[in-house]
Amino acid sequence: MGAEIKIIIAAIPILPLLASVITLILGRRFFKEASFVLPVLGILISFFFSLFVLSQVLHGKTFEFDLFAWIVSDSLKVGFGFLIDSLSIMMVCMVLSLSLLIHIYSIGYMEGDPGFYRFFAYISLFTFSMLALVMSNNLLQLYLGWEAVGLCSYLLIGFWYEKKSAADAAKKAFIVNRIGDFGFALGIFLLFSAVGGLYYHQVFDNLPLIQGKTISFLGIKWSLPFLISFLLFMGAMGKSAQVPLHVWLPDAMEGPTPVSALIHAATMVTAGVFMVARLHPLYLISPGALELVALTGTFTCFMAATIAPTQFDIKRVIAYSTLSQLGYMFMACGVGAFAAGMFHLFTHAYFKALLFLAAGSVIHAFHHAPDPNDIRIMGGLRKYMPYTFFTFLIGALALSGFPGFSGFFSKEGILISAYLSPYPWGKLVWLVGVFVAFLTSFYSFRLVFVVFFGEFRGGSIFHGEKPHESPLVMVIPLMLISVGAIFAGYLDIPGFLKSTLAHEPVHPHHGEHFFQNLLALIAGLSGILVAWWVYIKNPELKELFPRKFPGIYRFLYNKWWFDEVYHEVIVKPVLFLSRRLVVGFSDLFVIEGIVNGSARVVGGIAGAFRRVHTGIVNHYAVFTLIGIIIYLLVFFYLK
Amino acid sequence: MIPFSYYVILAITLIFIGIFGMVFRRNLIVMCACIEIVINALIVLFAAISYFHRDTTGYIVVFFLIAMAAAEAAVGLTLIVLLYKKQRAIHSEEVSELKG
Amino acid sequence: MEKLVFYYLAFAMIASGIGAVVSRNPVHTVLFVLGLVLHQALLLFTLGSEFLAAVQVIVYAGAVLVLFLFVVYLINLKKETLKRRFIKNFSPCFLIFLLFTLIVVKTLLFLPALTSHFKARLPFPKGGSPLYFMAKNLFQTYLFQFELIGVVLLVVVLGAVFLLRRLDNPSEEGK
Repeated sequence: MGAEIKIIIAAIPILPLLASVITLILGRRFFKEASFVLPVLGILISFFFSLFVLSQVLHGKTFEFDLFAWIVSDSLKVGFGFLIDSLSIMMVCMVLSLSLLIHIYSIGYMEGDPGFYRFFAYISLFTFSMLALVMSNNLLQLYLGWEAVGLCSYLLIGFWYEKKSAADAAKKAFIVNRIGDFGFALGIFLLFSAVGGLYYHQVFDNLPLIQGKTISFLGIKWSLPFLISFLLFMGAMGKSAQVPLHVWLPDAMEGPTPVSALIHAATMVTAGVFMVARLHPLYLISPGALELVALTGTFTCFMAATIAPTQFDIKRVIAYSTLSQLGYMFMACGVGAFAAGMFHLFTHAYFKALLFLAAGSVIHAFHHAPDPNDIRIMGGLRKYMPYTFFTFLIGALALSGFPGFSGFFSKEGILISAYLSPYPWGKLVWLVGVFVAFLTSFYSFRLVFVVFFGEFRGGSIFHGEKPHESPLVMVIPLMLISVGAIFAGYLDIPGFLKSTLAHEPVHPHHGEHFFQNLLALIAGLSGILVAWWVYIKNPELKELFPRKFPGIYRFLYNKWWFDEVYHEVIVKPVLFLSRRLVVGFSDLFVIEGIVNGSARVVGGIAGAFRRVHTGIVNHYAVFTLIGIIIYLLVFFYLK
Repeated sequence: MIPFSYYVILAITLIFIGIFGMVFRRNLIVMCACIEIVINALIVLFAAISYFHRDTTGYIVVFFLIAMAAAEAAVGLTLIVLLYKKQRAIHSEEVSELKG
Repeated sequence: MEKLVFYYLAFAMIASGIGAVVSRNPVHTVLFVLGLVLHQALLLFTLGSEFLAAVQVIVYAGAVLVLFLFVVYLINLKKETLKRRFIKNFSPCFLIFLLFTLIVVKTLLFLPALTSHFKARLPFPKGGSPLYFMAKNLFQTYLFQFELIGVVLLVVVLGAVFLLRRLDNPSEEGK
């Protein structure tokens, strides 16, 4: 391994970092409207470097090295290092290509925003963090990236911090993520104490040591691999927004749309899936943890897919669809089909980013509206925004798993792997997966039909004028990503990942299990058909469901009342307790006692000593003299 | 030949006089002058040490001491003039704002 | 002869020191200190440093004490000085001063032990006068301190000018 390739690999994350720091420091004063130049340039160069590294990996090479030792303490040694194999280079290429296009898109989207430079600095910093996360060769650096992407996510959700809902959403995302990260950190500690190292190769080499071991905690014997996997999965639940820590992701849509596309759909939220795939040997020795992953994924997948059709905020619909697709990925991981999960991650990144960006293009056209995200004011946009319409349609088709689009291949892979999996919960996962495929295509085409077909309903907002297409700087990235959304599925990602995720069950040939494939296909197509039936053919039908089943509708519309339950069960008691404790006890007794008490003590002492201060300089000279006398006494007699 | 201890006694006597003045005189200008006397005593001491020890470091300390004394006198006298201009006071009992 | 000169100088210094402390008029105080400084310059001369003697006369007698005189004349408080008793009855101070005297006298008993190794009068290094070595030391080993004292003097000059300038401006007075 030559020194040049090391430098190139190290430059991939460092260039965005440099661009970010420089832009953040100098952006407001000097770059202003040109703030995008450095980040775009840095990511472009990184992207070319990553393509070069990809060509090396395609030749069967892997790289692992430390840039520098970060912490060295007895048996703990952690470096800032890189592990480049097929898994990480896939993520790197995906992150960089999307990040590049979204940077370019944002030039148009964020134009004229007072925080223009700040936006590019943050999003570039995010790219660095994500790269540090996926390229890491040890768990601590993974954790660093993990926290850093959380920070960037916080900064960018709260980007328009003067808006209260945005600031609240940012706080919510950060706090909910903290719960997951707490478990993640505990998992890392436990893994270190069990294995004695944080490098992946150390962990994997020592896995036989912990297999079948138990640990006693709270009087219960826990299986050690299960406990570690569970704690690490807590982090994944937070970051990848799985039940019960999913509540932050829909609110995160308060951020600018490019952020939703890059962070909250394509890259950051998939970090949990990536982590599970990266540590798959650990999960494979703990069937209990795999079951947990599968069931969590399945439940999230189902729940989010039922909420999505009831929402009216275009970004929220897509956000719930993201939750649901993340559930698919965890389902795949939970049945041991890590490569299928990663494949879906890869294709999902493109078509979901595409959907978000196209939605952003619509929102951009509607930015005068009081609520530009509301689909009820849109409609008929097909004629006014043809490019946006076509790219959105491509995204929706890919998401629904329409044959020939990328989502079709990856979703089919997941469902077949689930059906064939040796684990007993595979059949259940498959069944739910097929049903959710129906819901997915239903709600995505609901969006298509409501937003782009029918009559234009926003006349009052536009005062008779018509919305028009977004500028070229936004449309061109849309087209490029839609190319990815169509063709990402034709890449043989599972085959490419075989070298890393070796425990993959044999991938079935096309043509076998024809019935199962057909069923999934039919589910998807019927979803489209039903959406067409409800929203185009018989528009009065859409009132049917809320009228017939008002209870279920309200339940779904209010997102299964997760937020309300959390508010009642966690937030209120905590607030109550803290008010009681802080105001009632510690403020009145402890703090005020200490404050007033110390003041009284000082006052008393000062009252005794104030007579020393006569205000006459000679007396001060005498005090100095006393000091000298004491010094002389000590010097001569006490030595 | 004068022994070294004579110089020490001379210096101590001068320091003594200076401190006596610092403690018992109330005129601020005189107090400043007493500081000068103390510094002069130190000069005698350092010069004598240097002379008996055959090392020029003591002379250099004397050199610095003279410079410091000049600086100190300038600042002290400036403050006294300032005080006089503000309060028409030159005796230490008249200036007792700091009384606790 | 040497001893006579020393005794004369020591006596003159102590006498003018006492005179400076006890005289009621600040002008006399300053003049006594001037006498002390001049005698001390002679003492420095006998201690082998003509240069320091010259500096003492120029800086101390020429600058510092003239400054004192200026200030005394500027303020000119003859009346007030006369009306004060110059030693006030202040017993705690007096007691402490007595204690100090006792300790100093006691300390003097240690003097032979402290000064014993000063008895051997080594020759100065060959190759130059004491002044030469002093200059060499000053501008090599203690160059930084030398520069520092220059900065200190500069700051003092600026500070003094600044403090007094503000007061001359009546609009800023009382701020």
